Amino acid sequence: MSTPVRVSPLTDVQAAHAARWVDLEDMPSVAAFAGESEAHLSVVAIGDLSFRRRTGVKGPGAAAALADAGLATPARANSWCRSEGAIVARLGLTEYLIEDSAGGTAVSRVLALPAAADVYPVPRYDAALVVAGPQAIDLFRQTCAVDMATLDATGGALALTSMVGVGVTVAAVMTPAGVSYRVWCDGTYGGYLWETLCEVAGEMGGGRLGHESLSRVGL
Amino acid sequence: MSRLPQMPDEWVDRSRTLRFRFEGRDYVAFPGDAVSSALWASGVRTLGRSFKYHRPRGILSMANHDVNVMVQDGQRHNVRGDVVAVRDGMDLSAVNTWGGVASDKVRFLDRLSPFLPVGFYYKAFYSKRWFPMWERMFRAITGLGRLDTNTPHIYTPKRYDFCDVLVIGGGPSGLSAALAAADAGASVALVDENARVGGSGLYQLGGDDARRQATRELLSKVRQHKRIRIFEGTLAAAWYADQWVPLVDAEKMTKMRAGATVMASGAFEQPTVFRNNDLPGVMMGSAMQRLIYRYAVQPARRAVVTTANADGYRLALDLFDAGVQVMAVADLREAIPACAAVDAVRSRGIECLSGTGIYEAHADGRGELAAVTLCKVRDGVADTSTARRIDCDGVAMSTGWAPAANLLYQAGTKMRFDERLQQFVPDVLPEGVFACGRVNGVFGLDARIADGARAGTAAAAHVLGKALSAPPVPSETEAPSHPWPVVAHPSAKNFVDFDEDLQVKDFENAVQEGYDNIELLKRFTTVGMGPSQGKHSNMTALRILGRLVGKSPQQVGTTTARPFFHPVPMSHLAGRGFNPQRRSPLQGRHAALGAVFMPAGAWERPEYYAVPGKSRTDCIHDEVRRVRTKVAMIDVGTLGKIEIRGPQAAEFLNRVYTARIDLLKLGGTRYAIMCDEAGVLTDEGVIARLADDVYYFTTTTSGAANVYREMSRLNAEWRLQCGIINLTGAYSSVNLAGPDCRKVLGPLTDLDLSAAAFPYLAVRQGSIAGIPARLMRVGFVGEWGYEIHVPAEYGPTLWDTLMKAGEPFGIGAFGVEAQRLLRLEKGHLIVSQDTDGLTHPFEVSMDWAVKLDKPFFIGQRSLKILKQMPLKRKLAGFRLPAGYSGQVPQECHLVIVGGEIAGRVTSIYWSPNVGCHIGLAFLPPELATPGSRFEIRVTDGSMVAAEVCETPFFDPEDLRQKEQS
Repeated sequence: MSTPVRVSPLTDVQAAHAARWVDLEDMPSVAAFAGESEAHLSVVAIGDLSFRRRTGVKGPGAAAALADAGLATPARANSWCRSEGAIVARLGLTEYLIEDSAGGTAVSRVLALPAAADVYPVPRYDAALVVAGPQAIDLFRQTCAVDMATLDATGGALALTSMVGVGVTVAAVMTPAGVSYRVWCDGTYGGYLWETLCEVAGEMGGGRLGHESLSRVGL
Repeated sequence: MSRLPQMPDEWVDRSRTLRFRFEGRDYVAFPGDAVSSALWASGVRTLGRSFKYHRPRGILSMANHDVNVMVQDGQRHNVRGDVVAVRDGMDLSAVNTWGGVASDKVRFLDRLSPFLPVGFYYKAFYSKRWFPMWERMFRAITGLGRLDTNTPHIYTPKRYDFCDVLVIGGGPSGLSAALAAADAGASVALVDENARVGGSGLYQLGGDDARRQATRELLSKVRQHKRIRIFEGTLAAAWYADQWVPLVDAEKMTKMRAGATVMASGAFEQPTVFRNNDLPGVMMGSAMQRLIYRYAVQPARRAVVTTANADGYRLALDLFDAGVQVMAVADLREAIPACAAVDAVRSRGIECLSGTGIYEAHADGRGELAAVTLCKVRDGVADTSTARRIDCDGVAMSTGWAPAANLLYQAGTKMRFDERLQQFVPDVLPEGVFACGRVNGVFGLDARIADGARAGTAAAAHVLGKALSAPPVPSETEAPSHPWPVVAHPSAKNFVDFDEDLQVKDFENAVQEGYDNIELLKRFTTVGMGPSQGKHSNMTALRILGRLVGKSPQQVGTTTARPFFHPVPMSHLAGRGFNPQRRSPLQGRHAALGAVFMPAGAWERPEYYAVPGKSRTDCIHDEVRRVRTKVAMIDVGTLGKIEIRGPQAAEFLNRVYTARIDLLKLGGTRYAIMCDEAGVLTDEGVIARLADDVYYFTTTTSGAANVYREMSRLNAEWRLQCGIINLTGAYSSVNLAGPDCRKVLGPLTDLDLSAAAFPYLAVRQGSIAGIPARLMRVGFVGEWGYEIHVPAEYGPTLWDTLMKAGEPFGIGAFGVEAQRLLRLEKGHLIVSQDTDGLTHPFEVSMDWAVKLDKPFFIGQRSLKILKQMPLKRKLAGFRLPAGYSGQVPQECHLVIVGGEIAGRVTSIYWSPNVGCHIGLAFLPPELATPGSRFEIRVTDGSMVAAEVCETPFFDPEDLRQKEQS
């Protein structure tokens, strides 16, 4: 039996704008949107990284379990760090989100952990966005009550807040394209979040970017 | 009146001109001119009419408080002429007139004023007999501006912003505060409602250019400072908890979150109260200075200054420099304190009169100022034997100030009345809130600058956690406000509130009628309730009340300063709307099948799938038929989906649900309900036991978030060894139902679907087309079926796979309406549709689901009591006669017994499988027995007969869940 197809939570809202598709980690993703321009990166650009594999764990034994899987965890609550290329985000005191880099094995190692009484697996099928460009902060200031400019891109605080009325987790990350922002939300809210951010970004002169453009600039 | 030579800091751009119309006549303005300044420069002095008596009015403040000079600008109404800039081509008309400013048809009301006493509205409306007449009359003659209902939607963005220190007010103290805070390392936002910052530092000069230079130097440093952002033309409209301040500009509202706030909001100059103090030409001294220095407009040719402080003398010097013939400076104080400004005035040959005030102003034929009568005044009483008439076209009032402390009050500042200053000043400031300048009782220019530096430094220290200090602030040498700036006159028309045309006698009469408390006085007289919200009337009203009841201003107190500080367009408050929508992973599949969506909480669900050429009802009935005869699928991913793991997971669920969850067998499911402490049924769902210490359960769509939140709270309280995981968005779920469902599913899964291996109400974990899945055999719609739960990212793939596999069996999708009908045929209730906020399980025949013998569960104590009491109502099934063709009852239609309300319908449908209308209704227990008859009142008032019957209506033996069926 062939591997079942993973579907991005943003597929429905992206399909009408997609020019080309590409399979990434068993998930069809938009390689390029019709009429997109990398010039958006000089204003504010929004991309979809939902294809990246992720999972979560929570419970008093979660940190120890992640250590067993060979992953470092942030020392402070509501912060994140990189471990073997993966993002390990500590959400509150004892809950963690792990997002693999391309081809990474962190998620599979966490999923393979033996069941434990104080570790609770948290399946994660988030809508995962990246927001980049010099006016990213301005985009957030039109959509969110938290000052994202205070987030440290070298690893540090996360913002667990509401954006356009949707619960999100936000991290600033340093990329070859400069500081960009990762935004995760429940996949069922993803379509609304994507559409709204793209609308505001469009008014600012920015817009959506497909995977080809994102990967060219190292996002 | 005329334009003055160019002023150093004037706001107008003389390089070009604009043309606009006012009241049907053409005028010329410079870019940067306010409507009022442009008209005044053109010699127009009557700019509007007063609200109540329709008296002619002109400029009063030039500070956004001239509510008698509001104009209609196309679809924009109530535009304030004293601050709104002229645009080329504007066509303006004054509001609140009948026939225009010059020939207002209702100006006769001024002569009827003796018949319109204070509290007139209340007294008029008191009589039921006359109420309709008064109402019609008031509706006809009141109201400001014309609302055009065709005005297009105005788009206003929404924005948040952040800073360490927010400085409100861009005058000398605010500039100084901003600079000090920024120099200390804080990021600063400096906000000023005026088109340009600088404040009084650029218009209250007293002929001393050093004052201007001091402000300019500050301004230059502020503009160049990298940590200071300047928001001009932006109003800090309110102060909310945690330093949350809405900033309103022409385009939008910005929600500013600051670390600390410095209030440098200044003070409102207050009118002097004398007869006819409202004639066009009588204005605040600061208004004249704004006209001169901002707009380069000469405010008058011959002016009299009435004053009681040094500001009045500086004003006289500014008027002198602007070419105005200052006829006299009338000082209410018995002795004029010596100071440089007084000396300078005298040295210019201007007469300075101590203990003197304006007894009355006189109008010319157009109702505009022509002269004043000065008298010796002692304690508000004029000695008319000393009367002296002076011809003039301008009176500058400069007898006192009231702090612009609205935001300080909103922040919770404790204010005290300073007798020496004759002003309320901050006594105890909230943490993180600072005040400086005039609002802080500091009036001298150098002192204000020093006070700003002190406040800015303190604010930065608060935010940055540093120990910082600033030089001390010199104290005031004189009272800036006169304690009684009121001159009595037997013929009244000495106005206190220009918004509402309130005279001194109105307050006297109100107090005489018993309204002797400031809050009562406000409501009875309406003082401070007009568009300017008492900015130039509250302080005088407070003084008058204090004198009438023998109390000090401190004892009288102030009225509540509510947000917003100033009128804000409704469009700004609305801003961009965010209405989060939750979408199932299958949303696109539904849309492709022609789904007609309906809201379900935050979700959109397919109500039914439209088929071209078929009615909604036919489509729904086709979907129902497919479920009953073939196989069909519904997206149930909106159900709440929660997992609980841990050694005490069963104990936790036992406490939350009414059933014995600990007895649930591994691989089994159970329908269960939960109640609140009052025993009210709050949610329901299916609980599956996946392992000894792992349970997976569903909740209602609307209850998912609340159930998870409440469970998390309870877990934190109970500290049981278990963890709760909300999988509502992480799992996609469908219900595959119908006689052929196993034929569709069987080839795709590794599970044994036989009744023996996978019985009714069992749960199994396996895979479907390689997709990991949890399957529960449930029967909500009364057919053999499987509720299939898979990771959300595989939801669409599962849907496509099942649809393809079901093609040979005529598979289709069914929506919420079909599901509601199918479950009704089985007599299953829907929580929150067939229950309400008072329903307990015994009323809906769910006694079987409540295990009162458990040690504990939420609601147990109440349910034990309710169990002992007779039922007040009971949910029962009913049907209408077969072939009934009259008006069909709807949900919530009432059951009437003996002319009284006895119950209500909760669900009703026509069932193609039963052959009649069936439904559920709350009935008195004595009626809720099969065979009883009752009547339902429908929309047109007629009664429809119904008969109670057994449920389920369809397949009562549940044969369709059995293998042989």
